Amino acid sequence: MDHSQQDICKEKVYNKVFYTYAKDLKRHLYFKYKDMASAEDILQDTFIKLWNNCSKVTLEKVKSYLYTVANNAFLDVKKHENVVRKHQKGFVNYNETESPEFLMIEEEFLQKVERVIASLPEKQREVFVMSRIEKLKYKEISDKLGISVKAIEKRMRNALIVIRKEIGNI
Amino acid sequence: MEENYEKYFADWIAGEITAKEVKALIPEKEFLAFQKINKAFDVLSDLETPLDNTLKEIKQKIDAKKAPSKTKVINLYVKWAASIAAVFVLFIGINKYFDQPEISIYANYGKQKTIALLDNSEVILNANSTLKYNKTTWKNKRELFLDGEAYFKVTKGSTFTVNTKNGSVTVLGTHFNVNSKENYFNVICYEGKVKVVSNNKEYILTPGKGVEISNQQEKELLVSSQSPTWFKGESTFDNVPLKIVIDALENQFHITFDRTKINQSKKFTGSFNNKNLKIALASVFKPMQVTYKSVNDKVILSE
Repeated sequence: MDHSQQDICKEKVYNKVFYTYAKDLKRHLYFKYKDMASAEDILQDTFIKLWNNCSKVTLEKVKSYLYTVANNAFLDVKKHENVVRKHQKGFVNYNETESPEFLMIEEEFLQKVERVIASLPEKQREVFVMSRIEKLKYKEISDKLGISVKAIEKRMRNALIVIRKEIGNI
Repeated sequence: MEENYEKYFADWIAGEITAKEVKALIPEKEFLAFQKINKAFDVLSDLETPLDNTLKEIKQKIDAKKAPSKTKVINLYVKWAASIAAVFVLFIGINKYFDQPEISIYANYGKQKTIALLDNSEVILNANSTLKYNKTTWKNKRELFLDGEAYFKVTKGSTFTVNTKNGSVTVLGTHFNVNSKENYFNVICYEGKVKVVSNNKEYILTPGKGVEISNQQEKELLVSSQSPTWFKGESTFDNVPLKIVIDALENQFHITFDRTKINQSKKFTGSFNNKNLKIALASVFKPMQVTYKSVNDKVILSE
């Protein structure tokens, strides 16, 4: 057995572990702490801890280790209390921003939105994902797909109408 | 009517109409729906973003923690001096020497210990168990580390967390029992509500309910008594591997068993008396058809 490929203290292996588990772990943390900043903080702290303990964790147990550490992390209490307070304010006192920072999204709702996006007709989905998920500008999308900006605008519009309709009552 | 709203959503996201204008044209509920969906887009975007930057930041933080050589020398000096001094103050305890706020409580073999925490919560520690907590951070976060078994009566207040090697228990003003040993984790809620996290799984327990995790297998428990039997002088087990019961006998009576000749995975249901060793041994081993013999300092078990 080539032990160097199993040694998390080797940067290559550590990187691979990171790319394997970080995305799902971040998602898990977002729903647990209900804000992206805390999720990102704890995600980073967890992987730092993994590095510091790399000789004590095997590849077999690394997933369990990461989730245990992340679930037991010390949340920055003041930061989090601030977020919670603003959540509570958010519904009583909405403002004009399109995406209030402290609006909470539940896991079920997010999964519903994901399903709706996944079931969009291919042409609409492609444009929608590049624009709202990958955050590309219409001009960039136009260059990538080889279609006019006007065509992109039309597909976006249709995608959004379908999404709103499919999501229905909230 | 519904159709128009969808078009407004598209117009608004595309930037052809401002939030103010849209709000004037649609019901408030609908506007909140727009915001929520749009927020979901942002969350998805954030969760789908490649994590290269995150990894970069992680590595920067790891590098930042490596102290420059000057500091390293100073740290080493302090450590060295401390270890010399420690020889002389060992009886006080290393904690006190470093003036750390960590409090460590240990219940000896065969004994139970009742303590009060800073917030008036009460903990009854069973034999051979250790409880640790940090008195400075206690105000902000009620968190303790347990190795062994304890019964908690938690006062109402901020979230109260018990961490063990096997998982964690979070509560909000209640009574519950936690038993955490090697590969064995048992939590029973007697009053209030308790959340248990172990191996990425979450369990919510209400009074009379418990969960037991042993060797990766989970079992939900239903308990009819009002409080654990161990602090009434009896230890009770429900379909538990014999190994766990023998461990508990060792902790309670401070004796050692030679187990090499028996099968420890057989399941035991029953209880033993905490005060009388003779009766305890009989209650456990007779039904299991295991013979026991005391030789020098050990009790030898055989089938």
